[in-house]
Amino acid sequence: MLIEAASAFLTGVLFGRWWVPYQKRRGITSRDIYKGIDGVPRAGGLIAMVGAAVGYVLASASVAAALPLLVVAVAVGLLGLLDDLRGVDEYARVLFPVFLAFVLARAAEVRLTIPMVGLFYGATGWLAVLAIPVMTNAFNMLDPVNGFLPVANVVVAAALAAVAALRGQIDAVRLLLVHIAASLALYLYNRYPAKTFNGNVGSYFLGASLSTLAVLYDLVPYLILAGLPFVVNGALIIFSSGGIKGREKIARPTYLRNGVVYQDCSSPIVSLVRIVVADKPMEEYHIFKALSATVLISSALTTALAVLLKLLSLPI
Amino acid sequence: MKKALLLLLSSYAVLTALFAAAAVLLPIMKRRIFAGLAVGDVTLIIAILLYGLFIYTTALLLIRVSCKDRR
Repeated sequence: MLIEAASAFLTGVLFGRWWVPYQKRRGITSRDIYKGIDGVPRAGGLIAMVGAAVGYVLASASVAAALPLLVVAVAVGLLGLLDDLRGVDEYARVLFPVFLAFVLARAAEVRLTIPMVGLFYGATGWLAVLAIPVMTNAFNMLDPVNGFLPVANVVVAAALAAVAALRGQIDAVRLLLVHIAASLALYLYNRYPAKTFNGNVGSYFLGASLSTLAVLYDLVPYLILAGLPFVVNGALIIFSSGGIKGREKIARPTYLRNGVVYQDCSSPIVSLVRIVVADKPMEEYHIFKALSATVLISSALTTALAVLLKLLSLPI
Repeated sequence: MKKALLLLLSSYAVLTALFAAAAVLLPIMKRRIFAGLAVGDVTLIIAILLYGLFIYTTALLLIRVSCKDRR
């Protein structure tokens, strides 16, 4: 079980040693606004994609779900990479994951079990597969500070692994461990102060990987609960900006002064980061800690909920 | 941070309450309206919209207080 995860981690770390300087040499960089530094590599998320791909390929010898997971997650990740390198139309960014989700719904048996309720009566899975475009875009909308996205992926995936273990879904646990290992490899390069940003390739790949896993193993409601900070942030941005937009097109509802982030009370946009700094202006690292705490809390509550449902013999 | 936690915990509580309500109302949710469409399908879409609106409204209230304090 641990071989795939260890391979994913080691591959990611070794690939990163080449990929980070390569991006610098080729000018695949952008500005770190918090630190005022130019030339920070911007597509580091490829580290997680390459690492996880190796892990999923190794797992595919004995786990059937590993192959569709690999195809969907890598396809969405490549779209993110293309977006980082050349830019992609925002409708393509939204519609491509929707298309893949419906292909998956046709190709695999997808079910939707709701905690406390049980199997969703329609059982067609069409609602469950929408988690792929929704969570992929939600991950893309909440990648504001160094280190947060990979840490959040480790925490949410660990909560899903705990729920899967309670249900006896050992294959799901194996694949989730690969996801965790790949996220940890990325964290080594993205932690504060970051050697590379995750880029759209990072948020798209990690979002697609985790949501496809949740769809294939009927864990979607738990993904929504554990990843609630992403859902909350997505809902806030969609309602306040009037639709789904790429993060580059949404004006920040915060401003930076001397390395400290303040909320911009004149902005109509609402985001989770704005809520976090509404009490007290914060530096980048403190925002990282606050956002990580929200994900830790939602994931811990979700694990506790699954344990409680199991104890009460209610549908998990 | 307190405001973010308040928003997160209230959103979590409302979502789990929706699950609990769906469990209680399951016999009604299963009733077919026409063809494959059930009461639960329509309820689910309305619930998602209302849930998003709840998150947004709560956040607006939290922000309004903090911006008023600053003036």
